Amino acid sequence: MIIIRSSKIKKFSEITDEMIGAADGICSCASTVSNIINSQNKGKEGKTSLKKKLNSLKKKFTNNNSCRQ
Amino acid sequence: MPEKTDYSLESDFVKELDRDILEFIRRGMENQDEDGFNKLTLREFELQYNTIEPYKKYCDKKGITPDIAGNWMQIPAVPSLAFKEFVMASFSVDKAEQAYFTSGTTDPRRKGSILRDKGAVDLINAANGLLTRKYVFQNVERMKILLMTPSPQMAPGIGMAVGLDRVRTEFGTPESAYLITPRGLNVEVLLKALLDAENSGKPLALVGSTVGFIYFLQACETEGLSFKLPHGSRICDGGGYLGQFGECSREEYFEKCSRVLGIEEYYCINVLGMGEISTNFFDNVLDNHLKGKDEERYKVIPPWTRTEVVDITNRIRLPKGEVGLLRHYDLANRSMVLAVQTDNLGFETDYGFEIIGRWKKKPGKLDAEEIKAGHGGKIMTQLGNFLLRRSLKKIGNVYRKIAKER
Repeated sequence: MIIIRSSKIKKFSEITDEMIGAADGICSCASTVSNIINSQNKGKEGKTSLKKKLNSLKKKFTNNNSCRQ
Repeated sequence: MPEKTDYSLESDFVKELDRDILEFIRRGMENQDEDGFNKLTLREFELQYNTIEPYKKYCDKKGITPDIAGNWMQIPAVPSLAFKEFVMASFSVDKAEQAYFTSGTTDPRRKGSILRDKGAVDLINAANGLLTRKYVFQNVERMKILLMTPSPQMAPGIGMAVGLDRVRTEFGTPESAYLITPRGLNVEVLLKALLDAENSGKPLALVGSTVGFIYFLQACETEGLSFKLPHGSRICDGGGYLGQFGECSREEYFEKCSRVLGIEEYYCINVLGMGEISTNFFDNVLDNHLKGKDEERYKVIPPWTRTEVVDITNRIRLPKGEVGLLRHYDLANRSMVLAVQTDNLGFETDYGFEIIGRWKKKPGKLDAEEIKAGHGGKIMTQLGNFLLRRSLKKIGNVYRKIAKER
């Protein structure tokens, strides 16, 4: 779980204009995406699964080599 | 003593309000009914004032009540941080059909909730369905969509996942796929789809998190990879990034889309979407291109919304072109609050607005110029940068292995 820049945020007991500009300025959707990648695309398990996927893809692909680099 | 008005979801008040808002949204983008908009905002304000206790207190402190407010501009706008501190729901939360986290909430101890009942879900679906059709998929019924986001089954608390699942079912073909899976970013699915599109000539849509796309584009450039996607392929990004993983201005982003993917600039559509605002704000570029209209790029303000840019210190509306904080009024926000004061920095254009970043309060300091060039608003983290870069290190190898077998 990613925890970023949390302790410095002031708590509020009511809605006030002081809240403007005081939020945690981070996009939770983007953070989630990176969190998932961080936890899954690493280590032996992740590499093994990637290799499996690639092998599986190789079997499926036909001999149509028209792509370029 | 006058009878107390019933503001429950089952009440005539809410049912009629939902019906009228939905009808207003369905009148589409040419609707110029200012008076109708104003009346609906005041009815919505009455509901939210009387059902959301923290909001009522806030309004009372400002001296604005439904009896006093004469137009939408007088309705107090709630700072977006309030969604993290309080339950901002105009209905009994046990009737919520949707619940996900607020934008900018990475601290699990402070996660706010966006709550919508069924009527509110209908409103958001109607609004964003109409906009997505017009600004992203106007010239195609359905197409293959690759989503740079997890599925809602995997990440039910993420607004982007929930919203893009609707896009997938409404505009995608059956082979559409999520790129973020329980096993991480599926690089090979992405590369394979790009190669397949090149070979088949069938256009492809890439939709999702800005940061993922930028890293992918940068990784491709590092590895010397490029594709020529069929004409009509498009990329629709949202969520922004912080610009800490290398400079990428808006112009550079479009250049990368063209150079790496072969996607023309008018098929690059940036979207501003945040949990606290139901309606998404889309770039006008594809719609303009299809109309043959030559106009600057900006975010379109739909008729059921208003967007103002206000001064950071005194919160007074600024002239067009001046940088300040974005404030949105959205009729589709019936289940929360109509008016939201965001921390997003932007400026008004002649016919819309643009976002350039997010403001973090520093006494006496605003360095908007520093962040003005970033694409889609710079609201990503340094950590995110590191993590995504790491996952894409192997992209060249993956590509070469896939290509070799084809």
